[in-house]
Amino acid sequence: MDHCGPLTRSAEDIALFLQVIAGFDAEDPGGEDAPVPDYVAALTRPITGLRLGLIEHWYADGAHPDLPPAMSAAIEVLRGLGAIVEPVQLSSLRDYTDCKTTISIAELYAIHEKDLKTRPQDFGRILRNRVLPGALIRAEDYVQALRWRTVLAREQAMALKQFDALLTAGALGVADPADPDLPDRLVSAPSITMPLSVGGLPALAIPCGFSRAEGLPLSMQIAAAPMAEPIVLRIAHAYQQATDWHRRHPDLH
Amino acid sequence: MRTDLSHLPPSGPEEIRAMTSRAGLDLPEELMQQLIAMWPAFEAMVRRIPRDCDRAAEPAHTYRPLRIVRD
Repeated sequence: MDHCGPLTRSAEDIALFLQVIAGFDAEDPGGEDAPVPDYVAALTRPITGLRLGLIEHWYADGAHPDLPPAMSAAIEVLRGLGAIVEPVQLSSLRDYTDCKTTISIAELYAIHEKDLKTRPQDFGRILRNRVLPGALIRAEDYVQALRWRTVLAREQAMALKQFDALLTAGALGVADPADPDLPDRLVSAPSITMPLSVGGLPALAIPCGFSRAEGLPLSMQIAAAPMAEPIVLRIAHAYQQATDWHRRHPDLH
Repeated sequence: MRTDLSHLPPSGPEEIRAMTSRAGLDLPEELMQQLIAMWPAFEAMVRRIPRDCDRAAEPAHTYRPLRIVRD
């Protein structure tokens, strides 16, 4: 259920990258046999008149204090480019995290069962402690979580009948230090990237500011209907043409 | 009104050991202690899942036989 995709400096680079790697692969059971759009050409279209649904309640509470103002400033940039941004209410972040985590840990355990039974000490602590609980998920819990996923995905599909794309934060905080002994954040706070995995929507996170205390990037997430990557890239590119957050680097020294 | 299992008490260490054993896992004690410490947070997530989704949300509906036949 995870998202995978290119990690680049700009939305334009993602379009170029995606143009090369996108396309149906008969060996990939999750792939869609759909035409590959011209992602680069989509970047040139303005975003005037696009309707964007802002899921503000996912980051209104419990986020880094610099995040809501950074998101508000980003929304104003998008409005200045002609987009129509209106609030949209979906189920809570907690609901999405509960659903996605239950499905993921059960499936991850099934994938890694043999190794977890024979050499569990070879897994890193954080991954092992995320996957081992999957052994204790009952079949009915997994099925109920899959049913709920359908309900939550339909909720997102309904929102995308009203809007061309959805906006929210890309993370509730800044990056953690690279310390393997830190507690696992998954169990202490809901994840804002999980909901769009539940819906299977194309999503992109781009920098939209820097935190004052840590000097680390804050991010905005853009998602659209399945296979609507060109709209996601168009919005991100328009934003990055009007701002320079993606060109800044944190001072790591 | 949403129905879930969040009213149930959290599983205790011995229950977690029993569930782990039934899953066929024989963990070193250090890893067992980590699982005992972690499981309540995951159990709380699982128990908050609603149990009253409509039958139209049945996951079997997402099975795509044409994909299998084509392969």
